[in-house]
Amino acid sequence: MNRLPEPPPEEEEELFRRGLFTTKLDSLVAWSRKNSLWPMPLGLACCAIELMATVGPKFDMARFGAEVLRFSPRQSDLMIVAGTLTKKMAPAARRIYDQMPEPKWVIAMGACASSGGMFRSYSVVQGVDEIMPVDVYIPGCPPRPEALIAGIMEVQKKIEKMSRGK
Amino acid sequence: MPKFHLDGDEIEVSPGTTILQAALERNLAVPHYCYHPKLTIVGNCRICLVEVEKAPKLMIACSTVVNDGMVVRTGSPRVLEARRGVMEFLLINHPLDCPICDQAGECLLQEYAVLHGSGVSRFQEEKVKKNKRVVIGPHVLLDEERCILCTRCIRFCQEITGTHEIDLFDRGDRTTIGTFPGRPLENLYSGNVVDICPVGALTSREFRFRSRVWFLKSTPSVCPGCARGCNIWVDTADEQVARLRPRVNEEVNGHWMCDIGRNGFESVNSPDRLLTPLVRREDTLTPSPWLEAVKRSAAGLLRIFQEQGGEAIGWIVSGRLTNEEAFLVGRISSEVLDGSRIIVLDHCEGEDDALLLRRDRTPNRRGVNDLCLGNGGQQMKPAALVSSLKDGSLRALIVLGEDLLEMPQLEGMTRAILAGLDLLVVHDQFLTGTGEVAHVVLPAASFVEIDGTYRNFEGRVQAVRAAKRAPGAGQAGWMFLSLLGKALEADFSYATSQEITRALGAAAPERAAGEGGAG
Amino acid sequence: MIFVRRPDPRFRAWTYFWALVKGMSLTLRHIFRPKVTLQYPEQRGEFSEGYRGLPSLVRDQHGREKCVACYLCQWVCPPRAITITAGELQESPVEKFAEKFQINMLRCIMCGYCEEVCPEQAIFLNQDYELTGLTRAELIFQKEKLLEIGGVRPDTIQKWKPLLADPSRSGGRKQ
Repeated sequence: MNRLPEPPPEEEEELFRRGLFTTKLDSLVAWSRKNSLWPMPLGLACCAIELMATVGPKFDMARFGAEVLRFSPRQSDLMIVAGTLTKKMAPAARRIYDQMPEPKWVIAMGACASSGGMFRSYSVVQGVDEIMPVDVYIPGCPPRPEALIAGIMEVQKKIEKMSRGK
Repeated sequence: MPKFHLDGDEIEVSPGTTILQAALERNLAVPHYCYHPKLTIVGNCRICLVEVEKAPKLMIACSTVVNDGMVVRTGSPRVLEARRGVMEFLLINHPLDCPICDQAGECLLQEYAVLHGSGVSRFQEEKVKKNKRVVIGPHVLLDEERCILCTRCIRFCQEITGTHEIDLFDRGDRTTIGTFPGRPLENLYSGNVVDICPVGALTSREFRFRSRVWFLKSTPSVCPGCARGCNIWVDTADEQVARLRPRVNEEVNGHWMCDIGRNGFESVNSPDRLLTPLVRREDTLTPSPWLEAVKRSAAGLLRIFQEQGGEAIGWIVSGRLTNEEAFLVGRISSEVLDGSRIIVLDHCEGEDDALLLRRDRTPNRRGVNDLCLGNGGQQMKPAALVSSLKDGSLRALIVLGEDLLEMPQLEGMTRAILAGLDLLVVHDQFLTGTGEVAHVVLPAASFVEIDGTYRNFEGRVQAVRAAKRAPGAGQAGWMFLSLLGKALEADFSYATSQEITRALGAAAPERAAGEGGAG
Repeated sequence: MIFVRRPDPRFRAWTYFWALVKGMSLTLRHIFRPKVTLQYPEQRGEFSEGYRGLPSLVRDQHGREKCVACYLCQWVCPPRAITITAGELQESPVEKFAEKFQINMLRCIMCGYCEEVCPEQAIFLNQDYELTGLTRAELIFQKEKLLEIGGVRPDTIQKWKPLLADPSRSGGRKQ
């Protein structure tokens, strides 16, 4: 988890052995980003309860450096949409997303956030990807905390890939 | 008039009424398989047993005629016990096919098993095995195991169609229904045996595995297949028509409909339906918004009308239009494009048959004739159409749902003749040969997607209702004509078909009012 | 105007210190308690047998697809996550099979109604719970994938077995 993403090239092995290493700056930035995600918890419904459990001691999201759930979009870089997004809530959700500084990622947690779930209704947005780009979808009603952690790991992988220009 | 007691109520019935008929009239749920109101009574399913006071045994309600002073109980413990016994007998050799059976959901055996069955089987032996999936006709499939031998289908073929194709074969628990070698169930009304079969023994080959009946949404409508105007249910699932079923109307079609009408909906589900209006630009048809296409048609029509008069404009209509559409054609042709010619094409095949099917295969010939031409519209005989197109006296055509190149009555019609027109507007469900050479092609709604009324050959006006939306930007004819009228600055504008129906009734009350029977 | 005498701050400060000690002692006590954190993903939780995870299709011990496309699961599914298209088996007495069977995992709420309603015991919820996807399309599972997840699940009823064993009963008979 806390290893550096790129092993040193051969010619630098000696330097590395002596305690010096080099890396690309964006790899370093990505490494620090992925291990210090600040989630913006958009808890809209029952999924938010599992989101709370994920931060709690049993599952402990702090192990992934993502324990700082502050309701402050300007300091966040990962939006976790947990719950049913109604059409009435959609402008607020989009506004919060817009307030987050780049780079930012979005997890659609649970059936409702991912696709509307069982609410095939005039009042419910049929998946948050209708109003914002979603990076990782997590099915479940609600997903277990493990599934959310799996989703966060998926986001971390995505951030790492970004640094390699993939 | 005999009076008798039915479950405690004294009721009076006309002589000759059976207990079952009296009970059904009072909405008492007496179960029955073999009884059908249009067929003779045989009394062989035995599920309709009721208790008649002073009778030593239970009596079958379907064939026991009511006598004065009878006391009948349809729900006594003895009756319930007997029903449970009959259900157990019927289910002894019935396979557990419900998951793969098309009848499931509208199966009387399922319903009565839930209501009157015991829920468990005491039968320990091997069930009798019979043939499954036997093709007995072009539209009907037989599963011998599922049959409960009520003989409704046999009586239908004897009494209604008179063709005697189905009969009972073999003895005892091996008795099956079937057809004679070399004589499949091929009559024009064979689809009805599927409807009257109370179980899943006779199923439709067209509807086979297409949908489960509990997904279907039924809309009451009228069959457009011929001038009879049989009342139908349009069953749709997921914006697709799954099947058509006859709707009981004793005045028009009774309980039946023909196979031509029943299977005449396949084109509605076609993926080749025209989805957007097309307008000719630089010699190719390109998609365009509706209003633009209509405005272009209207501008062209007005120009020809001003330059060459109404006689240069022709309307191609047929009995497939609803009264509302015909009314608008009549109004535009007499009020705006004064003097334009109306050509009513007919679709006739064969002769009228003895039961339902009419020679005229359009549902509204009478209404169209009346409403298009009744208001002072100028008719042109179809025979004169080709010659006046050739000599250039007709310069513009508005074609409503017809393919002129496929009409045998229009001898000598070619694409070149149509291509030589100044303006050709086609409103159709498909891009036909006529559409390919047209200047404007508009997507139409099919008969299951429109609201309106038809007047059948007897003069009865019946309502058609939309069962689904037209695919893409398809619009009903009345909507097209209403938009066209607006673009031509006529003094009318209608938002719904019902508004036109009302206007039509106000304009010509004696012609609009049929003898009821709508809806 | 009322003058209120504030309490003596020195006494307050004294009690603050005790609250600090109390809080710290709680923290220190917890350091020596057994750790409850589940080290997911290396470590996984234990679930009961009835845990409802992702739905999947199964085959019986003879490798036969059990689903006969009766549409009951599609009917009962609350979020309508299941879409079936039925087809006809020409050479088998079972007659009907699912030509397409698709579950939109994003819609699925793992309620288990499909498993409960299935008359052929063809659909089961397994114990998988950690599914993630980067697109919506990859989370719509087709029949092949569902059968792969479900695997083989032997059953004792074997309703179709006598029919499948009887060669005279395979395929439709024409008259």
